[in-house]
Amino acid sequence: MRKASRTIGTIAFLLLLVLIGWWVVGRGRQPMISAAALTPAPTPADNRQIASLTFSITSNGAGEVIGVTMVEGAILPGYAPNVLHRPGAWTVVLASPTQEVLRFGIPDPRLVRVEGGAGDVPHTSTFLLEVEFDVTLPLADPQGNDLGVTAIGLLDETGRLIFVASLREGEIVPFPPREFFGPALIQ
Amino acid sequence: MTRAHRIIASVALGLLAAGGCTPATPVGPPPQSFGTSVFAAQVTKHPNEAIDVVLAPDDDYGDMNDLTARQAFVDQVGILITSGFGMNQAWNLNSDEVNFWYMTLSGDVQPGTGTCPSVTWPSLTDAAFAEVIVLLHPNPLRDCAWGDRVTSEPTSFTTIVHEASHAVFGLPDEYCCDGGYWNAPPIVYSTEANCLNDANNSAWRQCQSIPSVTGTTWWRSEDSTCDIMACGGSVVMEYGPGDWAIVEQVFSGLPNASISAPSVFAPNTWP
Repeated sequence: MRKASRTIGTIAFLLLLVLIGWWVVGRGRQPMISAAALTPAPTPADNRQIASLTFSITSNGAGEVIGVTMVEGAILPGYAPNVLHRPGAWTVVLASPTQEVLRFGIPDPRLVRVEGGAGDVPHTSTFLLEVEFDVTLPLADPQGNDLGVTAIGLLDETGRLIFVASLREGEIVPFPPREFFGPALIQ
Repeated sequence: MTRAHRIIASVALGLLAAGGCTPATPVGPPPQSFGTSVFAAQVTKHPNEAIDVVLAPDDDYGDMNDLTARQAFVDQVGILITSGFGMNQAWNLNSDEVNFWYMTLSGDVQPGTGTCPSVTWPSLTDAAFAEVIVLLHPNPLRDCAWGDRVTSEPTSFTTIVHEASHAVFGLPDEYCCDGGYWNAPPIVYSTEANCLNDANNSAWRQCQSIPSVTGTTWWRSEDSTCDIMACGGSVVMEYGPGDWAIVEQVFSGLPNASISAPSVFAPNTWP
């Protein structure tokens, strides 16, 4: 009787070990992040908007920008990247009729960062004379308040104004810089 | 049966009854009528209050409508968050200020005819709020980065954190001589005088020139210290104190940010 009890107990103990092992392995296999959850990125409940622009940039052999064309430009509802205080080689300036409302940096879009593979430096760079790039601009602050942006400016690494557009009736209208507004607003 | 055996048996039966040993099996919703193609991987804040990193799959990961394929990709995303971003103390300590999302639309990265790969990006309209978008591909090749867009193998942790630092924080390169440089005090300056006279770098100032291949000479306030913006390698390194000054500045622009400064700066390592 005692032997039978001991056997049952041993079997139960082994069963417990197996179950604990299964549990541990099972836990290890559980995904860190479940793809079944599918929690979507939120869309704004308010009327905040962004400006989405695609530029085509042409440069000469000396690295000077000689042409900027807005290939596409649209004002859309949505959240924008948080760009406050960000430095960069180029500068985006957003202005209202009376003042500059936001200025932030972006990388020089002509400089493509190429994985080096050598291990000593993270990457090398290639300079493209012709390049297209996209930029998304906030037209509201993080709280959703409209910034009142009526003009968008783009400055190159030398601080030269290379693109200006106005925002009118929900559209982005490019202007030749010299015909737009004076240097007091965007410089 | 001894008392000990009875306890063991009852615990085992209890565990069975509680179902505590059943491995979790993801049960997915029906294939997508998503309305958006961007979903939470690790999200702590609303996008308007956070740095948002969006990770997009190469089509080699399979159909993202298929839960098994999607889980395989999301597993890679999880590893990248933990073993990439999580290994840099500044990102780790401030993880509450950072959201990681993944896309269900796929792109394609193939070896190109030139220096860079041939890249087909998925529609990124739904990811317009992202500070950086990384297209992850399993096939090994030489990757490139353009502005806030990066292609990478999912395990190139150092590369991804380095590139994200360019896009999110606007950090310049800090190695010689063919990186991307711009005036970014208190780390990189266009003149030696500006580097030497900036009170904000006085705690670590060792100004060293970076003669760029374009002919411009830049000045780095952190000498030749190896940090994530200066050196490559397989280990995700820390920021230098100058980098952190800019990273903190960008974090401080987020509404309701609670920022934690790293206790370790390069070349020291963490953890």
